[in-house]
Amino acid sequence: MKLITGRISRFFRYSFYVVAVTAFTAYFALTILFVLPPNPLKTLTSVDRDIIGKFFHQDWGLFSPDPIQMDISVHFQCLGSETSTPMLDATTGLWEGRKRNPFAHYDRVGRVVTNNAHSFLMPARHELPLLNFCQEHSDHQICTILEHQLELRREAVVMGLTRLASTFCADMRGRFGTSFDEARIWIATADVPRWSQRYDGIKKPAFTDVATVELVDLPAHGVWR
Amino acid sequence: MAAHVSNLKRCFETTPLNLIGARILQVGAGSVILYRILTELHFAQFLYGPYGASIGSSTTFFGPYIGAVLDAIFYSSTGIYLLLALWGLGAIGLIAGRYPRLSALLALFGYLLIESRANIGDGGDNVLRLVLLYMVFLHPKLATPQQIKPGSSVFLHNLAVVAVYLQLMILYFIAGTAKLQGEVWINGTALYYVMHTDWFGPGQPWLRDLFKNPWIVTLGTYCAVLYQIGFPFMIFSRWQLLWIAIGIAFHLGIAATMGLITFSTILIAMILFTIRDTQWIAVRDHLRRYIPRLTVYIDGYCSYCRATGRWLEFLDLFGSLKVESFRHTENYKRFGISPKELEEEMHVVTFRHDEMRVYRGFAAVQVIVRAVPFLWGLWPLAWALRQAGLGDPAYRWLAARRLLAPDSQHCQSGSCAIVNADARGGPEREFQPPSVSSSSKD
Repeated sequence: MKLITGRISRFFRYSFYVVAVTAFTAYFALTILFVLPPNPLKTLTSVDRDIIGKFFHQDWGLFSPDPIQMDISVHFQCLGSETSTPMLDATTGLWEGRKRNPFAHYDRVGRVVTNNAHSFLMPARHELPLLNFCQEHSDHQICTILEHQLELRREAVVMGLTRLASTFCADMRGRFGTSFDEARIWIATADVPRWSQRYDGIKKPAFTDVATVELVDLPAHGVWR
Repeated sequence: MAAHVSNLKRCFETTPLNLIGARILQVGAGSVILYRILTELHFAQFLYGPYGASIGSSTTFFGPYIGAVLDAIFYSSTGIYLLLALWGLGAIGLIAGRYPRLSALLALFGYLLIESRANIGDGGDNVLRLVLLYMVFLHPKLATPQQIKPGSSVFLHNLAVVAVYLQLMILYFIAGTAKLQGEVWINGTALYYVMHTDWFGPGQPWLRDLFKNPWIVTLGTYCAVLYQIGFPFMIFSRWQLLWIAIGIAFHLGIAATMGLITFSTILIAMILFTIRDTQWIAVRDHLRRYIPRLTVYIDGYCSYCRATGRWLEFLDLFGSLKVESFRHTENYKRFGISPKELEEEMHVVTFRHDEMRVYRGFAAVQVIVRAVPFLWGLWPLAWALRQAGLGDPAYRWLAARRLLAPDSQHCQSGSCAIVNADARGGPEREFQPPSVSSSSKD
């Protein structure tokens, strides 16, 4: 009896090991396929994107292919029926705060602002090859799909920036003593001077007028107070 | 072939790998999460609340039905604090090594909800979320490795260890090779650009100017790429420890200059994870030559003395400390210490380079504080007490009031006295030893 129980338990243990090793191998095979740059194998299947992309998403760009080479800042102008604020920088103060104290909240709070702006301006790493392709073959069907995807992402970013503008203007209500109904949003970029101009070059900001949006009713959180 | 597979299986289910590294990873992961909670708590409503800046939903990960329920519970005004509390509970469990599988699950659950809600993560958060999944399968008894028995738990633990190795290798290799497609990584100026952005640049102007130096920028840029591409190969070579030391310095540099604290912390913990147990023991043995070995004689009849002893052994990073009860051993006699002296105050015997010294009372406390890295923070307090002349009186006051309850092996005629250590008085009552005593007699 003991022998039979032992054999059954061993069978189940072995089966468990086989299942575990199979799942492990499949997971890492799909992970490797997912993180590799575009290649013929990736065109054969979308399982890696369906499983790893959705449930175990990972992006190991980490400042590649090229690191960020510009300052990105978001500016708001809160517009009210009685008065409006000047164009105000919602980003730089947060990064300066982080430099003063890297162990405070500035990093994550600043990312809410900058990541939105970054997503508005920059393509994701996996979109880069397709964007390069579309520069030469703009008539291709895939480029229409890509353009549509980028448009959808920009719309989502504007929604995020609208909420940011709403909390920003709620903070400004205390300073300006009046409430605001709308906000105008800009994203400014200032390139770091080229290496050859590192000693005498200066950063010149260029502004992109993103949208004028109706503010959502959000409380002041004191981030910009 | 079959014999090889059988050997591998046997090895995989009997010998747990990287126990020390896995424990370091747990502490690192828990610390990163706790750090995030503490720094984000004040602005939690802004970051994740229903009236904040973020609009993400957990339906993208959990599906429309479960996701909607989770959104309603955790993305509400009070739910956010509940989420942070659960996340923190997971982090504390990981740091303390208590219920580690449940703690890893809680921490992972917190990460999934936090990441689904707000787009504020970096590469460190990405890898930590994945590693938390692997940590669910680590052996639950990492904090007490002597209790680990061969079996399927060890098998799963070892698979999880291999998963962390693979994930780290994938991370570095992909990050390194992707840089080879970037113009500024190839021409050696990438670090100059990053260090001169407001986002990632250091606050100190002199540090920014340092990255205008052609030597520093070029070597720094190429070293970063080489380190990342080389990682999967070097980690199994004889240069492993050197590569690990460079990696730690690299990530400390990133934390100091770019302010990426959590990213650097978790990657340092993962790099340390790759040091095998035998290597940790070799490092410890090497360090032991410079660190005195301590034998701490405590009173085994005193419950809080025993608890303190257990804590000291738990915190003893270098394994240089041995705690013994003078009620249960007579080893102390060879150091010329009498039982009466031990009853009065704790004694510590130190050995270093064949030199033996005996410390007693508050001096013994100071020696322990000096020897246990986790207690180094108490050193100024101990020093101040000593200088003020309060150390010894405070120690004697505490020691005299310890409650003594002899264990069953030392009780005679079935009952023992619980006595206050202060001979001048204090409560004294009869103590009936637990039923274990009868079984031990049997």
